[in-house]
Amino acid sequence: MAMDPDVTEPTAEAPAPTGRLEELYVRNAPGALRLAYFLTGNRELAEDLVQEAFVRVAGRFRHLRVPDAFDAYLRRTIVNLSTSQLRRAKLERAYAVRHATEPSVVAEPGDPAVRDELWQALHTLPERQRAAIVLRFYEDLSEQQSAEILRCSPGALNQLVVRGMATLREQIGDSER
Amino acid sequence: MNDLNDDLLEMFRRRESDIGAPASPPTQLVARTRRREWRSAGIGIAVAVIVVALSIAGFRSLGAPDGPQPGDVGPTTTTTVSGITITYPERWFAEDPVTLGIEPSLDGHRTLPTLVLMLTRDDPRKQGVLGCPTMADVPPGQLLMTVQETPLAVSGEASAAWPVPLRTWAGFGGDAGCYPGWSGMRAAWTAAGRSFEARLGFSPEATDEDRAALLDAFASMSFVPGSVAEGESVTLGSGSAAGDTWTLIATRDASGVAWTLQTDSAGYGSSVDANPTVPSVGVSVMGQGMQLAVVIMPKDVRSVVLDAGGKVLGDFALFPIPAGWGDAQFAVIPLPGSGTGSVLFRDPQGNDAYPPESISWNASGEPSPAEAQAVNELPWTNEGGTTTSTGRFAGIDWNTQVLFYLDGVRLTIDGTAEDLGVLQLDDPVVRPLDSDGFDALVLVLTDTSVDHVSITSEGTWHGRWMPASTGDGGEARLWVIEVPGAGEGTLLFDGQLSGDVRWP
Repeated sequence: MAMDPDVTEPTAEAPAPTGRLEELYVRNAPGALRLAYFLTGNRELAEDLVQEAFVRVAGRFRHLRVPDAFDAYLRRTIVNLSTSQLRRAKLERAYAVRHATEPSVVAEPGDPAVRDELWQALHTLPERQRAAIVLRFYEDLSEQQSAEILRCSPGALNQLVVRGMATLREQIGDSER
Repeated sequence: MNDLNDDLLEMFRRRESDIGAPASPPTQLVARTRRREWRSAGIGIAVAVIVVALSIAGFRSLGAPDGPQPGDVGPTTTTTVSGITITYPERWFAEDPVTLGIEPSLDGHRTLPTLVLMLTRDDPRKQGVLGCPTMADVPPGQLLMTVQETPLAVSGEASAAWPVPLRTWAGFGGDAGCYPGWSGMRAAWTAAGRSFEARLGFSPEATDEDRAALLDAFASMSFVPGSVAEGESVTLGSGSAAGDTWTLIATRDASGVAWTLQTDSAGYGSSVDANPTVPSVGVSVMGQGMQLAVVIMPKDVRSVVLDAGGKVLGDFALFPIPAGWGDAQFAVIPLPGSGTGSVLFRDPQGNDAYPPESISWNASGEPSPAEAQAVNELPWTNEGGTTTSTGRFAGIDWNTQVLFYLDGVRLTIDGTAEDLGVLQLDDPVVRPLDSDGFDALVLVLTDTSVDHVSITSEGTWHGRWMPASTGDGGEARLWVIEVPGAGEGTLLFDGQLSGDVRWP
């Protein structure tokens, strides 16, 4: 994952931005898309989510105290959006509308999405539990870093992971693990 | 690391290949990003001017006189930027925002609205152009004008033919921290088949000469046809509801016709059949308290009526898409409060041209007591942004209030209020109900996926929830569990162990 795991709060006045929007996008979009995909389980929705996050963060770039931490801001915004009212109220609507006018992406029987039981189980989890698992296992962030992104205590973060993992075990019928 | 962990890691690795990476940002994304930058009251732009002036002042103090002095207007010059010809003091700067990097020109693609002209007294390219003017020691007397090209307006304020008068604009008042005392003016118009909006800002110390020069420059503008954006955009209409303004925009490009409904904080839209054969109605939630029914219908509908439980609302404006695009027409119906109703489509004789469409809406989302009870939800009210639930347990009245999300929760027990601040998700807070230390309330904030919270000890006590927010404004549920006596038990979320809790 190319994104910097450090999530840094603003601490000092921002210098003028030097990175072009295009450069920022090219540098950060791959990792951001994968994170959003793992959080949403849907490529189109992930793209919508990353675009929204990118607009939010890049639109405030001049006001970021630590522009070098753009990727960290972006990651936090993606996670927040994936669990926020905005995603439910806006992105899902946009997604639904778009899918009402475009061919739907439906998993075919041979699609790995159908075969991948664990993938499906992950996306039945509550959003914050899923986010906690993705941040800890895929992003390989520390408890503290993951908790900061999810705006909760490390203890609560652990609870989310524990509950999520317990559900995954149940879902895939692997309670002996 | 156990097997499930390994399986997860392997799955993540496998799934990484599902997602490709675009080589460049979508055009629409770039445009939205730039618009978002601009929406912050022209902060970046205004700040650019002001901080540049600081740089210039600094140069001057080093004996390198450069740039205009406040009030030093001098002779004028004329230039054309983005199809706008403007006459302005020759020491000032009339710039294309694309050149300055304020607006994108990604492969030549631009979408409306987009900034097309900036007029500043000082060079916006100088070092230190970005920042808040009050945070930097900038010289006084700054002022600026920006011009934005907007979707072509066929009705409303922006459809007025150039020249138009400037009107007072309070946009800088919302950013008193960076623009203390700044005054603003704005105008919107259409000329040469293009629509524009200009915003002018004046610091309190701006000289009369500079002010007059900026106003003269505004009045000097003339325009040539040819939008800077590809495709075509038309503002079909605008209106207000729930204290916010909405704008209905139609766009046409190679993929067809689409519409968007925009407010300052939200946007919603879809592609549309430019020649519909039957009407359709959709309800859009545009923000706090704003719900709009968007009606799309064939051209033979002459009026639209909302029959809401016997209360008939009508006289809604019809917005046809431009001739040549198709014959679809729109109506936008503000929906007050909550209710159900039917949208009726009348022909020229006042008869039903098409069968009615049933719609329902619920602006407040406030549940009735019966509805609340059915879903473990506390009855609650919302006034002024504060959500309140009340209850009585063990003979003592309690009251929980969810304040603005950064302020958290206020709990009042027997008339004594305590601000609990922003609660951490899943971390319970316990407060005794009486001074003897018996009976308690347990409050816990969860995400909205949690549908049942209980505490199990020698008995089981079930919680009820009210809408709440996380510390960053995300949606959450605040659960209140009334527990008797004193003791300790297990907190369960949807039947799953969350942790231990003691009370009081």
